[in-house]
Amino acid sequence: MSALNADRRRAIEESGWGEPFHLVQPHNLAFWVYCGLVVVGAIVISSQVSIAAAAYSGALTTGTIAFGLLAVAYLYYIHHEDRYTTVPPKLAAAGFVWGAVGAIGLALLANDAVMNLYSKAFGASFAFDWGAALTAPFDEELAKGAGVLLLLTLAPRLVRSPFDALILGAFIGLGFQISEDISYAWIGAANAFGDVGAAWSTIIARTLASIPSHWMYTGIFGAGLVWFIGRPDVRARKALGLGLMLTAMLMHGLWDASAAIAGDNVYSIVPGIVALVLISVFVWVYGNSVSIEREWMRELMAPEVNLGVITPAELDALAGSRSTLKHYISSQPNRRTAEHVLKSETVLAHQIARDGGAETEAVRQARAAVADARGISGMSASPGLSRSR
Amino acid sequence: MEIDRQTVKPALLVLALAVVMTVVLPFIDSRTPYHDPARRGDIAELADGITLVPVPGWELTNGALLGHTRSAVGTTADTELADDSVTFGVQTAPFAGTPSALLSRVNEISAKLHHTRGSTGGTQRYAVTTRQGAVGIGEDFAGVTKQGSVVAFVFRSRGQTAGEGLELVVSGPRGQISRRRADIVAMIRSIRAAS
Repeated sequence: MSALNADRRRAIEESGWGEPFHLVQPHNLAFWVYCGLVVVGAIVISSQVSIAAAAYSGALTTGTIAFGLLAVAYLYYIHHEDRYTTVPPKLAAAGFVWGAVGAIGLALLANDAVMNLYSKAFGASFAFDWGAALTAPFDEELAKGAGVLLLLTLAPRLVRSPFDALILGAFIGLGFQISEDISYAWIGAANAFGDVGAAWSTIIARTLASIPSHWMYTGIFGAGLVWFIGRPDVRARKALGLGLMLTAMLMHGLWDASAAIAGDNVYSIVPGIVALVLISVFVWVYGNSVSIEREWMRELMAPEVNLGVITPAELDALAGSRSTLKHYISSQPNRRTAEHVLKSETVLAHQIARDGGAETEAVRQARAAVADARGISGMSASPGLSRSR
Repeated sequence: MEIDRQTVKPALLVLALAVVMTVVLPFIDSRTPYHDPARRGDIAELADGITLVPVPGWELTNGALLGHTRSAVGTTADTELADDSVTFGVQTAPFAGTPSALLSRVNEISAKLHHTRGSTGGTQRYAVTTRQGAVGIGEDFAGVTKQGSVVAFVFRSRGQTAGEGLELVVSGPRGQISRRRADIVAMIRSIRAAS
């Protein structure tokens, strides 16, 4: 039992699970750089928003509502996939704000300059074809990736694995994506003499293309960055890390170049190939980075099996893949109860991590909640499990 | 207040990136001139099926030359030509009304952007005719240091109710606009739509 408890404490220590995130850290230079660049981004964006609000308010409002809803859907999905040592909401919010404001501000200023330079160096027709593809992958991926580095410096105990950076990067990329989507909605109207219908065309197109987009690029880039520099419990794999960062940039570039590559062909297969590769790489990164998270979950909850709070099968489901989880739930006589029990066990895991593995009143209450959830259908984890535990 | 030394390197790296992106690149851009002037025979593609012949010497700063791009120019597109401080910008997009209605729409947006009411202070409207025979509506405007013209066309294929709207804005310092009047008129008259 003491060995299990030692493993639990090590898992909490290694994962940073339960550690709170504080953005305001006056002794951390990354805090000042983060704040300064978010302010710069806010100034850049506000000048654009004032134009949109003055002349294209209908498109701005429509875009904000439509993409706001899309943001909620993606936030839910990313949080849903981050089911082990979850990124704290404040850290996720700081990432989203960096993407939506800080990174966008940097990218807007740099994109204009670089696109103009391509036009000046190689002619407007070259810039028309290749300008976006040779600009955005560098400016935008580096601006978003800078957010991963800043937040890693602000929360070194919370970003401990490539998986953490995958999730954090996805939040940063999503912020960038939604901010860009909203601007494209009103710019679409502006380019069509103020026609709000053009904003709707943009909304539909950007929503349909929202899966292989910034949240994936930056998730992959973020995981690559952590593999490149390494973490205390994850050895640096420079080639893999660099390869992933370059893959995110390359896919971004190919997506932006798809019209030029397709040429006269009405149907371009490039976006389809990019989407397939990007999703495959994202799934690969997820699969190859999540194992340490599962191990931490297993080490954290193993003592609860000995205490009779959870069953070995439930531990396998909690620390297993989504298919293991689904298989476990479907094998239970009462699926709803099984889901309810697993949810309360997840809450218990978070509480144990928050309290550093100590036996606190909150932990005892969380254990009681597990027993309560089980009591709904009269199930019991194991002989001897009772509410009074 | 002492800064944690471990945070200095990554923070300065990001700061350096930000300085390059927001200061260095825009500075280089501002100091780099365009040096690819239009040549005789060049044709700018303003939108799918709508073209303009740039006067040799003017720079195509944004847009596509016919036959020089792989990407298709769609119905919604931006083109800009420049000669010294005079700019000749064209915006195209589908539009269902008349040239006069398009010009009114453009003025309405411009008024909102400049927080003014009603007219932007343009002159009386006048007809503008291309060599192909398309008739647009134009008006001139004048500011303290700049002057220029706004011209609107709507090109329609036979039987179509919605056409392709084209808004053209020429602006620049007073003296420079006057010296280039012949070029500007020639470029406007060269606009043609594929039949």
